[in-house]
Amino acid sequence: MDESQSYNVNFFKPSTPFLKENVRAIVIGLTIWGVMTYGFQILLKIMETPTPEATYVVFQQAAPKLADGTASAEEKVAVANTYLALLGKSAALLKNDTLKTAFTSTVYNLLSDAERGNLLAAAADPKASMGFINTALGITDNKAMMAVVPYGLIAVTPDKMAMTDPALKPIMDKFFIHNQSVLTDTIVFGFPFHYLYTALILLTSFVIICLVYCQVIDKMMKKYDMEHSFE
Amino acid sequence: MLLVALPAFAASGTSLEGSFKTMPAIILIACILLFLVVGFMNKAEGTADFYAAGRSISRVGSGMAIASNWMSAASFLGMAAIMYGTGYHGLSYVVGWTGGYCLLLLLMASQIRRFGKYTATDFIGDRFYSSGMRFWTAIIAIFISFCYSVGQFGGIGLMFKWIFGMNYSASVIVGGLVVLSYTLISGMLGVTKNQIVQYVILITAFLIPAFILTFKFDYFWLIPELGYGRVVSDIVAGSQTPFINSLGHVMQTVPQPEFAMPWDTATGKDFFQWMATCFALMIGTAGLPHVIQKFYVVPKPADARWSVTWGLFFICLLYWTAPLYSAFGRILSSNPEVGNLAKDAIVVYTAQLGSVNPLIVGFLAAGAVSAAFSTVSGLLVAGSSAFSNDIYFKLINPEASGSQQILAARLATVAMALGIILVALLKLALVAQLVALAFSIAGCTIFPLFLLGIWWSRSNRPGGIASLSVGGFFTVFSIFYFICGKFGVALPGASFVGYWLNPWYFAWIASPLAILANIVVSLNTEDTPEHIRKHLASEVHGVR
Repeated sequence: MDESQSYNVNFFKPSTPFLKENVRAIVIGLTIWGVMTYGFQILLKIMETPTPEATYVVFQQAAPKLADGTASAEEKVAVANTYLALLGKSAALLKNDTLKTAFTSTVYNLLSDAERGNLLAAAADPKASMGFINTALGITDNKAMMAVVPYGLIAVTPDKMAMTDPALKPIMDKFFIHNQSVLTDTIVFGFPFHYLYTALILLTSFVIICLVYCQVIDKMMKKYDMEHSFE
Repeated sequence: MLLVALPAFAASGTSLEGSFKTMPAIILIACILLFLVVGFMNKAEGTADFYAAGRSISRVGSGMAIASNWMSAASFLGMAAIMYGTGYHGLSYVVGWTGGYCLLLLLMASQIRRFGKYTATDFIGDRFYSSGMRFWTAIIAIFISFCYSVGQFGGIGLMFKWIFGMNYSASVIVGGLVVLSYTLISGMLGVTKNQIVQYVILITAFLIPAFILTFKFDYFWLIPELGYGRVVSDIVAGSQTPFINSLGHVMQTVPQPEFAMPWDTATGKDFFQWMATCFALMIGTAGLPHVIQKFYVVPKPADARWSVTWGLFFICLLYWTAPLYSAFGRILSSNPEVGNLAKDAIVVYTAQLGSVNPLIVGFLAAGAVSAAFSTVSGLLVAGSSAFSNDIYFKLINPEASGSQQILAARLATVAMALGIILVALLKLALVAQLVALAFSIAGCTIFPLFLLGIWWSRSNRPGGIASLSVGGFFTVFSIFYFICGKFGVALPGASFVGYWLNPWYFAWIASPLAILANIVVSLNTEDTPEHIRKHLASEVHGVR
């Protein structure tokens, strides 16, 4: 090896014992880092199953019966509750008139004649009492659902009512089906495990990787008598 | 007949904002004055002293300085905002902005220190023996500072709006001018000590409400970073807590698994975007000039390593806690009556909705402004010194006197700040996204040059130029498509580019391609001059 050759630096061909050891430490550190960061997300991706929320499963069984008119009162309640849970998910959905029409129509269908008039009045006035709707939907002890009711109603005349609409399916698929697996469904310290892992364990492991690497390199520097000119 | 009911989104964001808030305003002004006083007490006497200021500071102290230099409005406000909006996708920002430090430490920190230059531009100019590349890296450094600052100004604007009750545009202008004056006054003041003070303020401001929220709502409050786990599970399952928020709504929500489940379709973000964002932010971290520059000012390479580790720990103190705000924010604002909240202010709104004492909320807002201030003034100094030193002095007027250089730097600072204010007024995207753009640019231009420059002596000037050209091309291409899209100009393949080469994460592919271009061109051109290889081998890698 001539003089000029010896000045070549290549990560994959470390030329001195120090560089060999340094590169080894880097490769080990980066491998742990890479597997912990990206490996886990890939595992999460591989293991996931698209899982519908419980309310959507019930809805999917009941919805066809709404179309042919054979749905029972309980099934209509379940459908209305599904619409309501969907409406409660985001402010954007509260602007979806098709969804609100479906919700209002289903509730309308559930009520007695006298209450139907109250519903139409309530739809035009969000400040009106909604107690009879909450009772009909069986959500009187669920404050989160009750809070959504006034925002989910839309003023619609009985002839324009529709309890289902094909346009709703993609929206419901989008909001009700989630990528779940044992990693997301196991609860650790109150967290869904994958969330705990990514938000806390992974960050902590970054600090540990850095800590260990610093100690390893400090020892290496002593061993090879490097960096002395800086001391 | 179709009557449309208009539910009263009466309360909405407005009742949370209100008008001028006296105590928060006093706290904010007191913080800024404190920074100035600390700065004057540690005034630097000239350039060498300015850089050497770190010498009297411990590793823990310079770790704090790294953390405060790093954490900006994007960390303080932006991360919680993006998790509030897109759930698990937001964690790719949390992971990307911390994991990048491993890359930086393992591959670069002590090597950069041993190379012995003062700035990123100097390193690239010397290592690739090219004044042209020095010029272009300076331009890129200025542009990165610019994009990074646009996000910060947006955050400052939101907090000024909240504290002083002005509209957003007026807040951005006033907030921007205050930062500009602060930077011009404090330009040469003791930076490192100041950053330690800024860190202590911002982390205290961020952590106190976290303890209060978890305590008040009966979660495990001794370690709020663990305690909020049940909040996440409550959001997934639909909660039944007995508490109410400051607007009188129950703290309950319908089941929202989309908040925590990975790449949920409801968030509109998928697996690829998670991985690409995370990766782009990581390599961007390892390529940001103002981050890399921190390693030149520590006395020893060992200090460079340990201060990164301490810095990462101090950064994590905030990053472990940030998702807490998004979770509490989600559950406290779930009542439809709250309406749409400005996502970037969700940290402050969360504290307000949780009925945290207004003084503490004011301190929180002041902490957000401090976070933005410390980073912006650093960025403006970095950008303007790149102009005055690398462009004006080295290329335009090599005869310039010291005072002419300082004048050039001042003018560049003013010009940059005004430009940033103008762009911030356009409100192009969320704070965290605008900052992510700066990371993607750094990740595909500067990172490849440092990586290969340090670890492969064969990488030469033509290779460096090729690498910079590829990175630069992708940057311009992606931003061009983004801006055209914003102004409604339809370009061919816009949806393809918007997905695969999105401005927040185009570095995922641009960076590997830039590295490839560097390798291919280097191998087909003359070897690097011997004196550079010798310096690299003996000084940086200890080959004797």
